[in-house]
Amino acid sequence: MADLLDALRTPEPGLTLPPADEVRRRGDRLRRRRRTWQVAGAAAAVAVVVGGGALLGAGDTTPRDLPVTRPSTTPPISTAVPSGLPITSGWPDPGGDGSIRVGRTPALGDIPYCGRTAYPVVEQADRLTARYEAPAGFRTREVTTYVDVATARRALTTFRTAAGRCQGAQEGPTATRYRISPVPVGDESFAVLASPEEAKAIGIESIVVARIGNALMVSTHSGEGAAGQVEQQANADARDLAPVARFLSGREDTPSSDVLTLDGAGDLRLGTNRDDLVATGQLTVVTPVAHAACDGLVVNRWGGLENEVDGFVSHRYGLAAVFARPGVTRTPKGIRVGSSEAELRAAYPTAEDASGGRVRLTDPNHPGRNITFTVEHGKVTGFVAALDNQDCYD
Amino acid sequence: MTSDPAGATAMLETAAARPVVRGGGMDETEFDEFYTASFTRIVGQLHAMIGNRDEAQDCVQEAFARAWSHRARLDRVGHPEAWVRTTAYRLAVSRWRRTVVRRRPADRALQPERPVAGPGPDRVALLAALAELPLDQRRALVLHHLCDLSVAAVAAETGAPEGTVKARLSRGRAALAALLDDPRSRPEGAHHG
Repeated sequence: MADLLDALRTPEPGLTLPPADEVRRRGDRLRRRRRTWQVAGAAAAVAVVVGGGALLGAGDTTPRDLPVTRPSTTPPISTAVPSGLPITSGWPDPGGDGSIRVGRTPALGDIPYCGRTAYPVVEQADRLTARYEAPAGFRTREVTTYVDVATARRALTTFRTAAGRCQGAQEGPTATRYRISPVPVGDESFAVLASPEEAKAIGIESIVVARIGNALMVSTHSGEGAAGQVEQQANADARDLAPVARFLSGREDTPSSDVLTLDGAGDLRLGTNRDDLVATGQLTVVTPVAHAACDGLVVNRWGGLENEVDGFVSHRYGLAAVFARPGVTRTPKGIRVGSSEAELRAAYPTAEDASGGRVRLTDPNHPGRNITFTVEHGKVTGFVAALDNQDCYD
Repeated sequence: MTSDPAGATAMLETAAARPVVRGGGMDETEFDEFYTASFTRIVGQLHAMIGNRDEAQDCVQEAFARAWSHRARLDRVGHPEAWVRTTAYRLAVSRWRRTVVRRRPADRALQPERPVAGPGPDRVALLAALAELPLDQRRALVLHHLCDLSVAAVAAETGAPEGTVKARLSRGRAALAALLDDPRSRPEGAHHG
């Protein structure tokens, strides 16, 4: 029986070897992306603080001129997607070969069911998107706004109708079954569950669609689960979307655990040594730099990062700095990346101007620590809670 | 690293935690030799596992690119071919990847598709029969009978207990033999193990 697969030992007929230098060039690009912060060194560390919008794709940071929303029956929101929306809420760490990207370019493209486009069909006013890629899962989220609630309702109804009329589709060798399932999020919502007909096949996709006032959230999640797991996956996704929905409706702020204070971020307290930090399971130490004084870290509950870090752990001083994550973190007084300088000054009237257009907040009750804000063109573009004597960046 | 959804980089990440050794890693020449010597073989193995040659080739290319991006630690892994194969397999079986491919242009294809010569009838029959098997059985069979890995090595590469691997091999062989109308269809113990 050992010779059973011998017919496959001969080389694949007609297979051409792609040039090695092309493969290496792609590998180099992957490596550069992974190492950007490391290579850039201290300057990059500051850039992470300054570049609050660095998570956004190029050209994605400029707000559009948008019409003012008309009054609606549900909590009124602007047609502009609000600053600080925690769009990646609940996403796990994508790991070293994965990434999370946030921007305003479409993340989904057309979503068709049985040849009929379900989304996007209705003209959108504004959009914020997030894309999660990891070897074991692919997720996207799009939050779009419409000129009024009725238009957003029409967008949701169009989606549900197209998906509901399609029982399944053949995708290459795989037959996929679709069904609609209720999920509890937003003002009205549903999930489209896609699973393989074949019991042996793996690969499921759940799409949660929810309307909050004049905004529509579309969340997709593709993974390697079996058909029996797709409903559970959709329900979990709906739960993860709840903070986004609450933020959109204006009913709730981001969780208190995402508040950045002079002590750090929740249990991640400045000055804690590396081993104790790792033991919390709340962060991932990334790409340690040989001979450097500090390692980078990513806060797991904030989701993964591709080329950046959420802070540094000093070998000498412990947790030395935690940067604000755009769309996730705020100060105790509600200042976020994107807040206006006027809001910052009003919230912290004792904060002092520092070099490079920065604003520095200290407190005698928290000696040796500071929160430094970077302000550009009247907006807070980043901030960091750090030890005064940190040795990780200039 | 605290987590690695695919587990595919686990060996490299383990290696990353070790002290840096001067002169470690593959240089360009060594990588090119490794790539040239093993690319076709791994594509064939992955094709047998997943049943789609174009997809297999694409995933193996991507896995080699990732291997090069980790080249500084590649030689210390000890089994770079296993790493590339595992990474390519995990890329290939992920449904999300098909979703991505469907929803965006093939921006990372390293070369356009080319017409290929047809495979022989034995190969076609074998690939068709393999495709009928559950993925786990198929993978175990390919690793054991085509990659010549021991049961223990298959267990290590797939993350399954040795007993599970033996069961998959036994059932897989029986099913495959039946599909090929092979008289040797009775389950038997694992080879090489």
